[in-house]
Amino acid sequence: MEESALHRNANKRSKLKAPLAAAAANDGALPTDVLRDVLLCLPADELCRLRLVCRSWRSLTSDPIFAKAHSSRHNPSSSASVPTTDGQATMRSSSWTLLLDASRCAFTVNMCMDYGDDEPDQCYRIARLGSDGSGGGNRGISWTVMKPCPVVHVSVQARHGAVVNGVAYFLLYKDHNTLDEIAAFDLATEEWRHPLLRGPPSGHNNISAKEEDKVCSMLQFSQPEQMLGLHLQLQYGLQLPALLTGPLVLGGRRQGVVDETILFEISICCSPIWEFYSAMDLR
Amino acid sequence: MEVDKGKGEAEETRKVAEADRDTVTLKSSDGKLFEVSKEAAARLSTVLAGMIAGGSIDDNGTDLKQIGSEALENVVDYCNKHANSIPSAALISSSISFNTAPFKEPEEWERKFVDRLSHDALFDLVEAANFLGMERLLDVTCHKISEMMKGKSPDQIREVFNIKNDYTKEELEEIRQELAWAFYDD
Repeated sequence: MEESALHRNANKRSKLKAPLAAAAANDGALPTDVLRDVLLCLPADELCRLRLVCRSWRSLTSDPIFAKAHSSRHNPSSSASVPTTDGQATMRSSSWTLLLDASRCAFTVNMCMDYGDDEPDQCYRIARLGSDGSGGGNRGISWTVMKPCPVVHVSVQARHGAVVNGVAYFLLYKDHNTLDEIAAFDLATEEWRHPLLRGPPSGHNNISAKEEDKVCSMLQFSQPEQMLGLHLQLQYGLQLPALLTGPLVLGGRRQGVVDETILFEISICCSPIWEFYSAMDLR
Repeated sequence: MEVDKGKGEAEETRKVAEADRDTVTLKSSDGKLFEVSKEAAARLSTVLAGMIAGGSIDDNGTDLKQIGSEALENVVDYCNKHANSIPSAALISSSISFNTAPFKEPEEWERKFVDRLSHDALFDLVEAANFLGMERLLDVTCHKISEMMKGKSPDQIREVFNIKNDYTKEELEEIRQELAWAFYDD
């Protein structure tokens, strides 16, 4: 057994020989399997912060099995109610949460993925909004740098968006006096769509995805869940009986699943800087 | 009870007596003995349940070389307290597969139980719970430790958990960028 796994507060640890599931990777304070249990208790946004602690914590929390255990523990209802081919509400790559919509497309907080019906080999194509155009970094995957949005400067925070039927929508924040706009990026053709869609009045705006090609935007998503449900019902006539009554926080963003609809909060803001799309083939 | 045993059957009598006892004796790494209800031990610890079923319980104190006396005292304390609280079938079954079962919040007494522990005692207890296969106690202690992590910066976490930062500056910056959304609310 690896005693190195137990070297917290120095004294008296060496006699312990707790069963270690994956001792080799762990140079932290707790046996790996215990650490895993501890980390499973934490919400996703906390977990992401903790990836900065050390390499082994990062690899532990990036493990797909861990991610699956985490999502089933923190969001048990959604995996059953989202109509995706694999029955999962969320997937995780090494550092992103993917939100799948009913049309078998996905969006993450900073990445888009499309694996539509017309791709028999199930090749995953992932688009990601990055700040330097290089995309995947040290993952050993080569990224193709794509055209920046020709219409606007998409800000860093505009990575929060929604995907409906293979098109990613981003709410673009301009200033407090104008209406926001929504930029649309077609994941299949890798082209930006023109022109920009009209968004809601500026403020703490959010965007949500709904099936059947509807993109709606809403205000004050951060209010209590019931308020949001009410708001949606009033403004968009959605039937949201069971909406947002359970725990909804995932990936640090509020998110809810109703019938065949995924709703999630997107926050947009900040100084416009140039950003690029990158795309890559995973296989 | 085994009152009417014949002569020369002392050994057998001892065995029967052991089987009939309703407590088991556990021995810590530093040689201290603790008694715990057999029913509670079997119910709360898969390892002890296996040992009881397999007859490997030692009447003079079952050696648990991996567990110090302070941790073992807490384990026994937990078992006793648990036996006194209302046993919940759901609670026990939910602990079997933490992978799919939603976590059940610690009950009030469990929260108090772990709150009073020092940092070291808590960490010893979580390892003891892990070693003994006490899923519920593991859940409760892990939950407590996770609460200690909440809201802390990576630096603070490293300090509390005595972890060395093995990233380079560049790597940290890269991860930070990747995770920018998680810091967005800050």
